[in-house]
Amino acid sequence: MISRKICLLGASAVGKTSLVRRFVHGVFDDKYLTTVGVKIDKRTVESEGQEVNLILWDISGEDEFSQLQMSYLRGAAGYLFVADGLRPATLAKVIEIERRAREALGPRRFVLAINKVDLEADWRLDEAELETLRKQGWKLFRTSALSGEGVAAAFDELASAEADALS
Amino acid sequence: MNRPLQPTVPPSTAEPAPGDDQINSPVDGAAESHHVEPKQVDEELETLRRLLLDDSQISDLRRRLDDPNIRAGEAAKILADAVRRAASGDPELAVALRPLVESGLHESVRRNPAVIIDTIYPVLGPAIRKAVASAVRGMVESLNQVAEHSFTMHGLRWRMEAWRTGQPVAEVALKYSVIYRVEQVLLIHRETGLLLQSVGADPAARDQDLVSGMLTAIQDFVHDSFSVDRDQDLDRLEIGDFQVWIERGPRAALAAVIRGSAPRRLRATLSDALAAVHRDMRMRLEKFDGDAAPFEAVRPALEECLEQEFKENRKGFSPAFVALCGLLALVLGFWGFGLWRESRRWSYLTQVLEREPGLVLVERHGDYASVLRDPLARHPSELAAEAGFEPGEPNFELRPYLSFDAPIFERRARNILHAPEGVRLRYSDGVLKMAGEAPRGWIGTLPALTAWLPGVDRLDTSGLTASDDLEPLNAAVRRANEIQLEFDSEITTIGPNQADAVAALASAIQDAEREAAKVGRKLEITVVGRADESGEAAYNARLSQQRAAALQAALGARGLRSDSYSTRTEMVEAGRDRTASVEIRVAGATP
Repeated sequence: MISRKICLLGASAVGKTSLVRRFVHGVFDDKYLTTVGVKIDKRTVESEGQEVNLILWDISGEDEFSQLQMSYLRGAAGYLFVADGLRPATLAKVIEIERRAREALGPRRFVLAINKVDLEADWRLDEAELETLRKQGWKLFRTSALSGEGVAAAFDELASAEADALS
Repeated sequence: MNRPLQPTVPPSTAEPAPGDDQINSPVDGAAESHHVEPKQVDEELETLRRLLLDDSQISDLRRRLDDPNIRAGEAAKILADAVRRAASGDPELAVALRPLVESGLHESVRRNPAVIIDTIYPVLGPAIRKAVASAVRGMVESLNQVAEHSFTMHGLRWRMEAWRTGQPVAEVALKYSVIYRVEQVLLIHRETGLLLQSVGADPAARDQDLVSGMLTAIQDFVHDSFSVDRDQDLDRLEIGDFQVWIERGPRAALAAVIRGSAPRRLRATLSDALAAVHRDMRMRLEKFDGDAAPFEAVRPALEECLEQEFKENRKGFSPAFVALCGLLALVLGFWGFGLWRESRRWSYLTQVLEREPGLVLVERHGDYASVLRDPLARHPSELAAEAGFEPGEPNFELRPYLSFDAPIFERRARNILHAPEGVRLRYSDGVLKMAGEAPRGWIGTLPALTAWLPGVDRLDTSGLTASDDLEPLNAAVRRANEIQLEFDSEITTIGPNQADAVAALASAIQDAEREAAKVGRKLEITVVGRADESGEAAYNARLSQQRAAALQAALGARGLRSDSYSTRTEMVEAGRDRTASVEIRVAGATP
């Protein structure tokens, strides 16, 4: 069976751990527990007739107190960047992390999940900025760990992109 | 529903997607240069013609082939590229170059070792440090184990064994401490932290993919947190009863999940297995694409790491066990001996009781015995004492009965009949026989008295003589026995003054013989001659013999058949009477 290391990256409290919990265990809990270091989880998905093990590295979010450890990203097949639709600063953080990761480890496949779509009415993201990213080839997904919307699609995109690359 | 925010930009118009290889290989370029257009045919024919006919070009080619300097210069230009291409493809070049490199190194070390030493020092230093550190750690571990067990029961036992076998205590301690089991071995791709292969399984362990990832993450965390050198790694984790030993190679790492305390040599086993994996799967490790299937092939190498060692079974028996067995044997022995002695005593007592008249053993349970006893019989306790029983043992229950055993019956008959001393009784098969002398009156009461004796079918008194009828005989015998003939010293003849005594004696004997004939008795008559002890013994013996013979002759002269008498001699003390006399005994009738 094929295994893929996928890293979840983004600012703190954007919902990386919640997305993993939704994707792997199908549950949501609105208690917030900050991730220290890294949490690893696994889900097997089927992509184009092939089973793929996604090994999900849920890496603690970057904030003023903790810097992202680039060594966690080594060997990753893809990144799932997560931004919080309510906080524009988290999108800027994603763009910064993507640049740093590319500089340190070279280009990788990635998708961007803009989380908390259940609160879309309150989103404050700049639509123009998102359009720019799309033009640069970024794949954007609107997700909600609460409702589950878009979560599987975002992960499946990473799995299928890999399957494409292999075939 | 799970659509992207906007339709995805077609990849062709986008920038190269991250991760795409865009490097053009030189091979592709070469292929393009061989692409020939038809319109160029004429130009090439022209070129061919020039090559064949132009002398200066041929000589130029020839010069380039013949001149070693030029050839060397041209080869130098392409050598690096040629080596690079050869190395990227197959390992043949490495094989071809190995002897050269080895001999080159050898030569270099021989001429000037400093160059090589300076070169490898940065590598060698850490390597040696690591080796020494691991050796020291191994020693400390063993010392720790010894210290931990020093004051326990184990410790004492190990010390005993060390003292007994002459081994160091540490060795004995290690022998018993090294009990471990490699539960699981994970082969992890270092770059990605993905699980390549795993063998063994522990139901308690989590998903091995996750374990593999976590171990890698922990490793990364340690590196980043402690900013240690790249060659200093986390070697071991301890989680409760488990240890995880991590052995790293350039591309892959082995993680062994161990229960218990494993010996240092397990490191070598892990290291060997990992080296084998790197040797066999080098290319696959370098180009790992997430597909772990090819790594099935290394399972046997990993399975060799699933070592386990159990606590050695102790040979022989523990002293405590032996002592216990000894004690048990002793107890059993005592018990058995007691049983044996008891059974011996009882079998003896049973035999004795069977023989003993007037006692019957009815039943016996352990220390209790029920016995029938005639009042005239012995008490069974006397017999028990003879059989070796302690006083008071066994516990007899006596019940009285009348015994018809002959000795008891005869005793009872004597008591009831008040039999005189001279009467003997024999009881057999219901017949009571009596013999001896008794007063006529007593004999007359017998038939009536015997009616009181149960068990007597018939009374046989034919052996009894009424003592009244014997009186004349007894008087004659008493008279004869009282007469003594006296002799002077040295004299053996009967003097004339003894004639009356001889006549009285002869008359008494004649009376006795006559009375004896009357009551049907026989007489035994002995003539006795006596001498005193003064003088020679042989002479005295002859004197007493001659005196007896003289009396015998004198009685014969009186008409008695004295030659049928027996003679006897006696010595008497000096000064006592030297005599001759006759002794008559009435032979009793036996019943």
